[in-house]
Amino acid sequence: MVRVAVCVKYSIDVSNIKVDRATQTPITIGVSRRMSDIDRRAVEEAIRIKEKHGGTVTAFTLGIPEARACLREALAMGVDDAVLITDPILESSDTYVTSRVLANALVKLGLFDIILCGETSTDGYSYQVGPRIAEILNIPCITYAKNIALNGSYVTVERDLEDRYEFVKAQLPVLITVTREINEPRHPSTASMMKAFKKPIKTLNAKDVDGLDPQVQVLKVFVPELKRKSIVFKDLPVKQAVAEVVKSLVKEGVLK
Amino acid sequence: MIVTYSSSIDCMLELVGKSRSIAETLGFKVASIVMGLNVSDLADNISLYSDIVYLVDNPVLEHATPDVQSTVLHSILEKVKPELVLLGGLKEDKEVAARLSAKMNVGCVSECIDVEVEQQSKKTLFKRLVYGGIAIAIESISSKPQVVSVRRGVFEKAKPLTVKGEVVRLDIPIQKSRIEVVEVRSKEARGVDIESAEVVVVGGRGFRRREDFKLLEDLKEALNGVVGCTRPVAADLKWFTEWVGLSGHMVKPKLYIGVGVSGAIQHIAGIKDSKIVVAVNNDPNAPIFNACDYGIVGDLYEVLPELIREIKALKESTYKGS
Repeated sequence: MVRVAVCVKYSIDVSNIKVDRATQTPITIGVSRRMSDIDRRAVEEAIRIKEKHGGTVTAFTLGIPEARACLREALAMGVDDAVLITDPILESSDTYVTSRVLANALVKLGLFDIILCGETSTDGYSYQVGPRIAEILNIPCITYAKNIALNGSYVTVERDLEDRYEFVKAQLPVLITVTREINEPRHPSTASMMKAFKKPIKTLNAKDVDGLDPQVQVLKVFVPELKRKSIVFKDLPVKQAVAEVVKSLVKEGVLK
Repeated sequence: MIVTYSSSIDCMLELVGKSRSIAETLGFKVASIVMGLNVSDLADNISLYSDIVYLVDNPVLEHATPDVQSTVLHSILEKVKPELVLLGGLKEDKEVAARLSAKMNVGCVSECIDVEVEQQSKKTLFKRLVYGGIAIAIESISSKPQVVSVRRGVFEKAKPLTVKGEVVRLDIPIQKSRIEVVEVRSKEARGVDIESAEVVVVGGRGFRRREDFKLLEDLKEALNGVVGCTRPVAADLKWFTEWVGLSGHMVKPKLYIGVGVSGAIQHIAGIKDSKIVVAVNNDPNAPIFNACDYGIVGDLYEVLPELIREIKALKESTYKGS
């Protein structure tokens, strides 16, 4: 029996962000959100560990009240219960704040053997929250996992680094961040989605956590102008279109 | 003082290069941290570029995991109290950055693509890509020291100093890691580095079968370039390993050709520094057509052979002419 926690982020769906060309800023208001893709694989991995070894999986998220949606999805996939941490004070939270609040909730819900996180979120790309939580909880942290095997009281993990795969071992409790390549997450059936509505979601605020002032300030976000020519040949016969492009590339000096 | 650290020497020299320009503006010194077993030669080498090199040489550090690296950094930073800490862009460096800033209870900006000092306020500003690379955020850090990790390959490497820096050997008690490294398998050595290639040809999901990547190889041969793929081709189909995009390789060739690439924004972010972008796709609505210089709407199985033929013909005529 193993107690697994998995942290997920209700991320902005970056492929749906539009750009306000007048101000050169991204329009994030009203953009759809969903569970960060890499976190979905962390959920899948947590469930696989439970299916193999028995135990429970609890999903955690910190976000706007609507983030409940990604917990429902995790529950439909097979997670047992979930915790939503939501508080207006957390609106501009940075990785420092997010990791403190999540660590606090993880302690409150108590004694997890394995904590899984995505290596990074698909909207923020900071790669920080997992290792920071491990540091706060003072437990071993294994990042960039592409394979996890649990053997009794320790885990063996294959890490995917730039130039090498590293096989490492650590005693439980442990925090592991997973890569997108670790597994292919399941699609919950309609029946399991219905069942998910009966599973409990606990709501927490951040009242009892100290140190909630973000240490990183976002001063400005802008979309750099894309200076591309966008000369697209649509209706020319292939031979002609290719000839045109090759001619242009020679003129640009990139083809000799 | 600005302190730099990476477990890669190349990254370290990029960090020192950037730090020296910031340090000049602010009147700071640049220090580098070198740790490992029998690394005094390395420290000596780095002192050609950095004002001060803090050297920690200890058997425990032979294959130091990020937890041990961040503990060592922490104790050095407590002593030298720098204003700014620049860490490298390797995956391990990013973990070190996160752990170190958690230990010190400070904020951290990941994967910076630029560090600037604002003229009047002397405030340090950090730029990073956000929202899948579509936008750039300018951020500041209120806590001290300011800890950031820096993307690989964006800063010029440092040039040697006129006067060699000083190497300071530190004796720091180090605890063993709670993580045991059981085995290490090197990945296949890459041929030409895609990130510094002058011509990059990339295949996307428009290819129907793995064998068809042969067409891309032929194009690469004709152009003397390097082949890459998109993330789905690497991660989902597993046809090819080197993917181009925000989470993979950021390329900056003179010529990029994307074939059967739709142009997800993370991919576009990875090719934004290319001089000329060419796209071939059968879908006229593929987003890459808005982010390319030249595009051909058409079946890649027809376009690619013709393109290869044209380029070969061009090269032959050039050789004959010269």
